[in-house]
Formats: sequence, structure tokens, C-alpha cells
Amino acid sequence: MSEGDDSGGGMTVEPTVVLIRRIRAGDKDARELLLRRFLPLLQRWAHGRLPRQMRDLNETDDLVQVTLVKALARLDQFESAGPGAFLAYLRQALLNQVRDEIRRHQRRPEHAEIDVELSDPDAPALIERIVGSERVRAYEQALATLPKRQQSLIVMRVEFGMSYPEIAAEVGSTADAVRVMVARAIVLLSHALGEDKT
Amino acid sequence: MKPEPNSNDELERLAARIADDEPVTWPAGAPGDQAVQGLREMQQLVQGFRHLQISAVAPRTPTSNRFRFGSLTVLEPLGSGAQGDVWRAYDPLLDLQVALKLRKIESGVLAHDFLDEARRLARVRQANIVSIYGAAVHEGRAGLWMELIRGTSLAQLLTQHGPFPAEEVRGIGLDLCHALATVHRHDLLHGDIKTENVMREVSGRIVLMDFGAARELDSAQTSVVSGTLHYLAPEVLRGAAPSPASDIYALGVLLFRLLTNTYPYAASDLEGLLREQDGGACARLSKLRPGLPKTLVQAVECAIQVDPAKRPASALAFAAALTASSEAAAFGWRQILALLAVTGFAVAGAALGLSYWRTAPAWQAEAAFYRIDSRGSIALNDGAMVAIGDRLALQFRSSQPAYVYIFDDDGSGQTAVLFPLAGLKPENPLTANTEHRLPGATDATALTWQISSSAAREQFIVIAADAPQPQLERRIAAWQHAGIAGAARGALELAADTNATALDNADLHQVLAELDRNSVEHVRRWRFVFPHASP
Repeated sequence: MSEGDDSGGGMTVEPTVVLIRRIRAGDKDARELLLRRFLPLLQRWAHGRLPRQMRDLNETDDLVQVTLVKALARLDQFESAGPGAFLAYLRQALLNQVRDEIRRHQRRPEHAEIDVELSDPDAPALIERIVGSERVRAYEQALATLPKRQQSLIVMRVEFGMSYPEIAAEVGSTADAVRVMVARAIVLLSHALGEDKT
Repeated sequence: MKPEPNSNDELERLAARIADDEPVTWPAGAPGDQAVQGLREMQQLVQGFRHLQISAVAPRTPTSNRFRFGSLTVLEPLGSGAQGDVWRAYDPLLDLQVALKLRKIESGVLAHDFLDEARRLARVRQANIVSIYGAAVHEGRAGLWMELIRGTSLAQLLTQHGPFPAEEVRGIGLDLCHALATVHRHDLLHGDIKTENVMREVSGRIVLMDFGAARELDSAQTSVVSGTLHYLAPEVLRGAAPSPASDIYALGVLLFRLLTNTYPYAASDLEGLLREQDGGACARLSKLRPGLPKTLVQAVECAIQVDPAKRPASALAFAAALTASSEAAAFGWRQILALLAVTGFAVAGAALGLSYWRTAPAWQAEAAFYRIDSRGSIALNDGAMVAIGDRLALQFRSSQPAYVYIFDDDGSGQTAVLFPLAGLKPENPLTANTEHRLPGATDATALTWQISSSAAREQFIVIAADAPQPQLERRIAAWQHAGIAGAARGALELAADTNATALDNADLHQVLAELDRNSVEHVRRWRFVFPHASP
């Protein structure tokens, strides 16, 4: 079931760091390119991370778009922690945005629930329903203890499902090297997760 | 030479497979290893994320035989069960492929009952239990849709590959114990645990499926038993209502089957089964499959005892017994040490626990804690220091029959139920004018509670009532019990099971507040606080 070796994918070769440099220099094309690169990826990701009340597709896509545009507008505040960091940065911005949204939604009456009995006050995201919210929380905490570079590798591979060639293009390395780096990052994360469990 | 399970190369090799969502063969004998434990967690997460990615990119214009069920587009049939057919469907709201179970009109199951499954499942959320997304009735057809599982049932795996490795069976057992503990905590029973109803996903995640036979604990008395014969507990075959203990039996049978590809009893009809059970003709694991870890054999055989009281007291206790089966192999000395600690209990001049509740003249009740060691027992005054490894018991005496409940709150925010524990004597109500030593004893062994986690303090809450406390009993059934795995060692651990979602002590205090409304003639309460000696 591995799709790690397909070298296709929608990624252009130009690494994000280069695009960011171009955007900062006022290059509008670069901005478009970056939007097109990350928008579908983030939208797909967000469907699984958004709480139940908000999984109306339009609402999700809207949220992602707004967050991405905001992030691009504040590019000067983004301090790159190395190649691949931008995606992790966007992901964090989105998670923060989601948390704000949850708070906002909690103050808003529920709309169009399929079955009152099934409505859930905790409004878990899909990923939380699949693996359990405890596990997602533990993962987030463990992830935060890792160096930024390792965080990005895990986020790209695990959460965004990027192929190794795609990640390699992003971090300026080879697919084989990335595969090893990802495995090492996962081992590192597993130590943190294991500690949490004991 | 086989690489060390926890060598870094081996861990990286496992991590790479996990990252690629490929099946992982876990190294034997290293389940307690922190990094391996973390990797197992990681595997579940990767699988979860992968699931979302696959669903999101799945084609949205599928085959021709599709039809609609409400907002769902139904794509293709996946299988058929007693109550309903299962279809692969696409949920545009979730933007996910889902498994849609549609009630068979001819099944004779009312839409209401069918939707009950959804309501029940919706209350239960755990990684090893299939997640439900929604339920509805459209054009007279009831349907519920849930997580689409990519994988193979344990039954199919058994047919394809024969009996499972012992270590894998232990892992599956642990996952299912935690799933069951969650089910039982919600006052539900599964009612139909069997190899056909447990899936192993591509990544190895174990998922408990098909809650069609699940029932509310309260309605178990009236429901029709619908489980598969071999998995039905002996008491259920004889007409008793299903219970958490019968789910534990079924899980025991399932593990037995994974190890041997047979059932504990050879007969295939009801008459024969009853006869074999009465005659004690249960097949022995050690004969069918020599060389299994002895403690794994004990854990499984304990779960399939004919007498429900002899089975593990709860799903978590079963989990603890399964964990013990790997730990005991590594730490045999623990058992020896523990045996030394099983000593007689002398009634010394008892210091009474501080009764912070009111006292009433008519009903005399006394409770006092003792520390038990090889020299005998020492009464613990309130505020006395305790330490890890200490073994404690409670001396209790009452002038009238009493229902006793004991809780431990070590300040971590989690609470353990220390008494009553199924399978131990004495049971509630405790007889009047007798010196009772709690937690009690199994057939041969007097037990103690052992402090096994470090905390700032232990706080014990002892409640005695002149009548059963239903709301408390119900909660207790759902909360965790002190690990009964230690029963063989003479001590019950007070440590909370880290995998369990433990009772929040706020929950306990809420129940206690409810009890407070009872008058002192009916309910007594003691609180003992013992600080931990600093290490």
C-alpha cells in the first residue's frame, strides 16, 4: 500500500524557501504558485482535523483559504527554521484558527444535526474519532518536543501524506535520504510518546 | 543473528514501515519497551491520518449500481450480516468513504432497535472500536454509517495463516480488553465478540466491529441472546442474562481460538456444550499448544472459567493479567517477593480511621487500615506515611449488615475502585458483627492492596451503607478496579492502568455528594489520608 515511491505529485521543483524569498521580494507569481501548492494539501488535511460541527465542506475550505492568505500576508513574521518549516508553520496557524473557531461555535446554537442523540458536545475532529482524542493530544504534545526540522518531516509525511520525492524537493534532499530522516524522526517522536504513556 | 528489538536500527526499520503504512511485525518480548510502545501509538496515528487521506482522494464518480441513501452515495456492496447489508458509500458532508449498514427489511429487526446500535456506538469512542458517523431513516429504510475499515477479519487471518504467534495474541487481547473496558464503562455490552467481528487493519490496528448484538446493561435481562454458541458464556447458555463477565468469557474464547484454531469445548450443539461444561471437559491450552508462556495460558484460561466469579473482575483486570503474562516472564522474582508478603492478618489494637462524617449512636461501624509486612500488621493512624510496595488492608466491623465501597484517590485526578471486587470473598453485604479484612481473599489466598505508583499521598474513601447503592454500583461497574492481576501474587496493585481512561475524581465526588443526601442512619463515610514517604 505504500505510495512512497511515486515521483509524480503536484509539487513543482522550486523549494518553498525559494518561493518565500521571491514573495518577500514582491513577486506576485510566486505568491500564486505557493497558494496553488499548499491550498489543496491543507484543505484535504483540514477535513480530518476540523471538529464535527464545522465539517461542512465550504466552511472548511473557507477557513483554510483565509488562514493561508493571512499567513502569506504576514510572511515577514515567519522565521524559517530550515527547509520544510513553512508547511509546519501553516499547519500550526490552521490548528490555532480551528481552536478559535471551536470557541466561536460553542457560543453559537447547533444547526442541522442529523440526530439529536448523536450530537456530541465535544465535537471531535474526524481524526480524533478514528484514533481517539487522547492519542491525538498525546501526539501533539510529543510532536512539540521535537526539533522543528523533525516536526516538519513528520507533518509532511504522516499528516499531509506527501511522497518522499515531494518532501525531498521541499527540503532539498534525495528521496532515499528523506526516507531515513523520516524514520529517525518517528523514532524520536516514539520515545516522547512512549514516555508519555508510562 | 536477530537484531535486538530495541536497537536503534531495528526501531528505525519499524518506523520506516510505519511511515509507509506497511504491515509491521512487532519484535517479540519487548512490549514494555518505551520506544516500541511509542511506535505502536505512532502506527495508529499514521493509520488514522492515512485513512483520511485515502478517503479524501477517493474517486467521487463511482460505479453504475450506485444509489442514494439520504445525502450518501452508495457505491458497492461489501458484505451481508444477520441484521443488515453493508455497503461502501461516499459521504459528501464528511468528504469520506464510509461503511453504510442498511437494515434488511426481512431481518425482523425494528428500525428503532437497529438505530439503537448507532446510538450505543455513538456514545463509545475508542481507537479499537469502530467509529460511527451517523444514522438515519430514509424512505422507510434504517441505516447507519461508520468508519470504513481496510483490513481482514481475525477469522479470515486464522483460515489463511493458522494460529497466531503468542505475542500477537497478547497484543490483540490487550487492545480488545481496552475496547471492552470502554464499552462496559458506558453501561453497554458487546454481546457478540468473535473472530469474525474483529478486524485487523492493514497497519495492524485491531478494531472491534458489529455492535448489532450489543445491548444496554439494564435491558440485558429482556433482550434475546444472539451471540454465537461457542462464544456464549456457560451461564448465558443456561439462561442467565449476559453481563460484562460473559463478554470477558467471549474474549477468552476468541484468544483461545487465535492460539489453537479450535474452541475450548469440542461440541457444536447446545446439549453437547452444556454436558461438556458440566463435566469439566474444557480443552487445555498447554496440551493443544505446548510451549506457550505459562502466564498467557493462565490469563486466557482464567477468562473462560465456567464460574463467572472466577473470571477476571473486569476487562481492565483481564488486560492486567495479559500484561502480567509478559512481565512475569521477565520479572519472575516479583512473584517470589510477593509470595513472601502473603501473611496472616493479626488483629492488633486497631486505631480507628478518622470518621469525618457524622456519627450516629444506633449503628456501630468501624474501619481501620493496616500495613501488612512479613512481621505482621501495623495499624495506620490517619496521616501515617506509606511508600511504594507497602501492602495495605482494611479491617471493617459493623453492628448491622453493610454494603461497603472503597475508593483510592492518589491525587493524580484518577480514582480506583478497591472494593467490591468480583471474584473475591467476602462480598457485599458484609455480615454483621464480624471482623472483615478487605479486600478479601480468593479461594486460597488472602489479598492486600499494594501501593505501586508514586504520588504525594493516598486518600482512601470508605463508604458503608445499610442498603445497596445502585448509582454507586453502576459507576463502579464502569470505573476501573484495582488491578486484579496481582491476585496470584497476593496483592492488588493500586496503580492506575495507564491505558485506561480512569474515573475522574470529580466524578467520584459528584457521586459522594449524592450520597450525602442520605442520613447518617443509612450511610457512613470515612476518609483516610496517608502521605507518601519521600523516596
